[in-house]
Amino acid sequence: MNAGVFVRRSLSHYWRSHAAVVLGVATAVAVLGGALLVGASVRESLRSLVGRRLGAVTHAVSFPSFFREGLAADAERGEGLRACPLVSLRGVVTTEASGRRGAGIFVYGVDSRFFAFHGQPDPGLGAREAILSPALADELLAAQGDTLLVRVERTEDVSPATLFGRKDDLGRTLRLKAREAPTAAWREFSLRPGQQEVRAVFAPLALLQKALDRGDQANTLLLAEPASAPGLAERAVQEALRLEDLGVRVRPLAERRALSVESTRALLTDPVAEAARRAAAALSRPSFEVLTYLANGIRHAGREVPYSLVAGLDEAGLRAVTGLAPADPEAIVLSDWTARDLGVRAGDPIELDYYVWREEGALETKTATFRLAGTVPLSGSSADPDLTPSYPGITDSLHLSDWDPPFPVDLARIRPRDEDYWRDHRTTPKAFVPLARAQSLFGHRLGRVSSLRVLLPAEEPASEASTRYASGLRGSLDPTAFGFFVEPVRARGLEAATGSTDFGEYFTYFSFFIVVSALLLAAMFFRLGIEQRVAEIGLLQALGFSSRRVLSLSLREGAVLAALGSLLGVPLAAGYAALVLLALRTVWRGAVGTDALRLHVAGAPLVAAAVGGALVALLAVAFTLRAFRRGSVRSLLGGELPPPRQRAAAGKLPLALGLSALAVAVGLLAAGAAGRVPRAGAFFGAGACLLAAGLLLFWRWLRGHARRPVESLAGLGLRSATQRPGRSLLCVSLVAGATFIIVSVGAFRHRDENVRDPRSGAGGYPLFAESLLPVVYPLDTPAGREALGLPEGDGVFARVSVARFRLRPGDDASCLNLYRPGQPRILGATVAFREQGRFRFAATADATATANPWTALDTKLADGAVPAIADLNTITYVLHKKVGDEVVVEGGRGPVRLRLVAALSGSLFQSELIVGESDFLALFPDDAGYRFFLLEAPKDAEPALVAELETRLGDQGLDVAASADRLAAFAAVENTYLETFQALGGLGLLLGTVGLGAVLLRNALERRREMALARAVGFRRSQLRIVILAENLLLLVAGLGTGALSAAVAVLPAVLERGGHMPVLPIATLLLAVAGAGILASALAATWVSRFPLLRSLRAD
Amino acid sequence: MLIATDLHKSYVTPRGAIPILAGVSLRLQPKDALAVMGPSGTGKSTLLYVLGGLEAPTSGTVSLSGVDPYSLPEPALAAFRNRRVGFVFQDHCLLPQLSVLENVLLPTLVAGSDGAMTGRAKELIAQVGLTDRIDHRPAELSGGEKQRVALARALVLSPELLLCDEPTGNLDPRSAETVGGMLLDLARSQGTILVVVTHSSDLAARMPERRRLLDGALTAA
Repeated sequence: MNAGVFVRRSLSHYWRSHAAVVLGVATAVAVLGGALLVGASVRESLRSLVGRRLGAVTHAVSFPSFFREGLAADAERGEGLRACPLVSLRGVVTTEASGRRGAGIFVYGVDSRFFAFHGQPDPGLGAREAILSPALADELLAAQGDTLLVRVERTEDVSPATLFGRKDDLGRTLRLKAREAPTAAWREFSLRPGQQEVRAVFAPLALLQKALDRGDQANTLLLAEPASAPGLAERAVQEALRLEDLGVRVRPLAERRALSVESTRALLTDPVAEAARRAAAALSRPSFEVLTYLANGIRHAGREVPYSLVAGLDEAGLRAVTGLAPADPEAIVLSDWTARDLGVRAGDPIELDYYVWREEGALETKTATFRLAGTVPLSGSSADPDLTPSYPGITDSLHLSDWDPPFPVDLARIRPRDEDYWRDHRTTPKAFVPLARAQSLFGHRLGRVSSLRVLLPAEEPASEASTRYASGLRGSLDPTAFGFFVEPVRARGLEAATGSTDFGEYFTYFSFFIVVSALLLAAMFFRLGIEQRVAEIGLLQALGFSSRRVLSLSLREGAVLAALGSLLGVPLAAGYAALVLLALRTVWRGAVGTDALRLHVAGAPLVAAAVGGALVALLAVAFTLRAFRRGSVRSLLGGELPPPRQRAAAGKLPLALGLSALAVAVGLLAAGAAGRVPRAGAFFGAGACLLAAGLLLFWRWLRGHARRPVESLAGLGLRSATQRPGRSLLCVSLVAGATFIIVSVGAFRHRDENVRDPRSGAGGYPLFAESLLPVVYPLDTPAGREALGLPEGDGVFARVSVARFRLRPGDDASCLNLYRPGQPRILGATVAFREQGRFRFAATADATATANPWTALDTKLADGAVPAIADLNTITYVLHKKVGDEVVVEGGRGPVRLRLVAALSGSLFQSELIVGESDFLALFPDDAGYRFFLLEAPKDAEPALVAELETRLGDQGLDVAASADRLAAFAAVENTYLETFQALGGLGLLLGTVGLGAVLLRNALERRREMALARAVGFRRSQLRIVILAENLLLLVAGLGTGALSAAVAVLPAVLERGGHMPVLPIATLLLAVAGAGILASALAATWVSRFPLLRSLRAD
Repeated sequence: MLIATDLHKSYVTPRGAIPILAGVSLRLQPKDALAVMGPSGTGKSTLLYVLGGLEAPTSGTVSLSGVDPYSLPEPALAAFRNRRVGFVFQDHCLLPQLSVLENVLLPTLVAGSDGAMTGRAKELIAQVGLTDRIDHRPAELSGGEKQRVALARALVLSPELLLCDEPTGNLDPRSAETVGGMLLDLARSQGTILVVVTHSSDLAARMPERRRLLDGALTAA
């Protein structure tokens, strides 16, 4: 005989009551483990999705421009790295026959290398065929042979942000035939993590290259790095990269004994120009910088030479080209051809008229005045057409009159002698000015140098020098400065799969009441079981077992029960998780937006839940056993339960505390109403204090009512509730707490708001739009509309106000994206928009900016961080930050720190971060034009406006949508979470209520002798049922009433803010269901006990 | 030797203290057997619990072989009850989940069990005539058999003092006769001081010494 035998015997003998304990613990472990499994399953599902969609890809290069296709082959080098070039663009696709349209899709130009890269059979795409991803095919209802119109952005080398960049016809449309294809993993290919279905078109690479005039170029490189060679991908690409891939070329000018360093983008950025200078210096070769621009006219005294190229040269350049080195910063040197045409001589004032392209979408003509410093012959070094970069549509024209520039040209101004000049001298500059002056007039944020000239000694062959120089220059250039990044997409995707929303944590919170109810019930049933054996405890003490030893034996029993419950709960956890995931795929799909979530059983969550559940259960058991240390051995031997603690002041303390809590509640209510403290916090605090006050006063009532005379059957039931005040208070607290949370949570469901209110989440803009191609002209000015081909006059556009935003595509930063956004979307807000001060803010970092928090974007932060604004939901729940924190994003030229300076409240902007426009242009210099728009128009004009925009700007890929719909989509996620919480909380409440009935049953069983005695003296069964029902109803009503009333007070401001709306029906239904379940359970208990045989009950021991 | 000196015991109620024992004194040697009789509610069981270290007296002292149990800390007091005192209750108080042998061995869980104790337990079970029921549960025994098991349990650790509270109170006359006889025989053979509280004049008649508890004091029977 030993303690183990004793425990085993006890477990076996009392298995009935122990079964309830085991079930309670199993339920708690199942729910807790299930919640954690949900989190693990969501993460694993997202990881699986990343892996499936990436296929063999580990790294990828995405470049704002295009590079050699051959870079892929050069990078492979036989070290196990595999590379595949493709073209990847955003686009819009329309089924020609039905007109069905899919916007925001990806268009991939692929060939056999793509399929070989992924180890997939080549479907053999025809020259004009396209295969759609399954989701897109379903969306478009595209069938084999259907004609598809695929419109993509045509990225120009010369940026539309410059004068010489094209601003119209920025897209290309391909006419393709839909081709059916078998299910294959590559059809779900995507480089960006996201749980929404992939919407993509796979078209022939060669066709896309031709349509984009990109020859043998690509803009994306897929890489598969072997696991045994980390870092190989980046290294290999860096080594294979050539200057031409970065858009830089070194052109040998043999006749001039020089090299010209140029950019395909017509301008060298400052870092590249600096690197080029240093590369020349490293070879001890002199160099000079050139900035060549087009002047609309060179004028003097009423005479003019139209459309002339003007070269800005530094001092060394001026000397090398013109032989002059004027010190006057306003000097100009003209070719003798130009000087003769103007009839000028040294010292005469010369005016240059020139265009400047303002990025807000307007062309401006400016004039600069110079002083003629001298003239140079149109021969030799000064007759150098290579000083001018290539401007498509201009420099490649045979005649001046053939020019097709992206700005207006008055052909009437061109004279025959001008055509003769063009024929004979082409792009030879007609004037030379100091570089500094040229840069101040013609310089652009994208660059202030159009080329660098490296001078070679006579004996050095230009081609050899070119190779040597190019190698040196390439070695000094950082590709990331060009926006050329080798991104570890697989690693980042897997990291993003950890998600911004921890579903394990959320469902643990949601299931909180189920877990607590189950554990409390388990502890309660354990205690009831021990109470049944109180005489045994007395016996053991009488036999010399110390109270510690008795406790130890009971704890061992409890530990075994907790362990059994945990073990049982583990497989049940998988079931619970499966059910929750099924709900997330169906009725709660609004929270996740995908049906791709599957159960993944992981050991760690189950072990954590099993161990945690067992420990908590054991603690609960240990807590319940404490009471048995109070009883005397004699009374225990007699089967008497230890009395509750009798403290003389026990009755006064709960009363004092309860009244204090009530006073605090009243004080908070008054303070909140007077605006002394934030209303929401005041009322919620008041509600919580009311809840505490209610429970404390109920406790006080229980203690006080214990001595009141019993005057009715119901009174007898009420008295029964006072016999075990701790047990009664526990039941009431559980019901009240659950009710409080469920009712108050329901008040925070989002309701529709007036989107026309400038302080609403839509900022007063009922419509928003996004375009595939950048729109460089303003939509709401006559000149802009004319440029865009929109109608004029008193039409709908005359009544529209538009706010334009720059847009850098990226990861959705809202709760609609389950993945953690590594590269969030970024908007650049114009000054005009910011000055309006629209939208509603939740917080600002700078108290002085509260009048118009948008002004915080104007702040220049001393530490180099860029101020940004985001929605509070995004900041808190997705980025897990707060106002004042920083977010690091990839800028166009490397990582950038964005500091959150303000938070919007429930706005349209939950998918992105917002910076000021000037900061945006500095961060993303390659981005031009505007792609995101907020539109304000009279309600009656909205349909016409939408139709006009989508029709006339359909080629831009413009999509217009209602702001209310966007807000509703965000709200749907939050509302679904609230519904989930209410559903699971209600389940917990129901469990607690059913348990309450079971406890009542136990109470009745304990008092069955009393019941039998009552019947023996004449009480009817129905009267006994009333006694039991009265006790249960008291506890149920006390719990529900306390919880509901406190919650109603707590949420009053939130309800009023929402116009007095509260989802009363679902809450009332839930509470009625709970009350009904409780009444039913107690009625059953009452009926069962009242039917006990009289004599057996009287003799019961 | 058991020495009780001027024992007083009162129970405190909201309406004031209720005196139960009012100056009880006695002195018993090993192998002595005392029957305490008296009307219901006079405090006989209270006297037993006080003597056995289960309830502290309001005043007065108890000493068993020179040890006052109420001067001991709780763990030592429990050990005192375990080693030196055996109890037989009116209600036998057998644990339903244990067999006869296990019930008898229950006190050894505290003292430490070894093979010798099992042998002693079996010997006692044999002495009370229940060898053939050794593996049976209490639910399978008659009232008298249960009480015999309780007796064996009380003696398994060879206590110095054996206290019995109405040991035959719930038994039929024949069982009562059997149990009563066994009680005295075993106590005598073990050299134990025996104190029996009983209403049964037959059982009391068997005891060499008899006292009556009346008005809180022991008087000659």
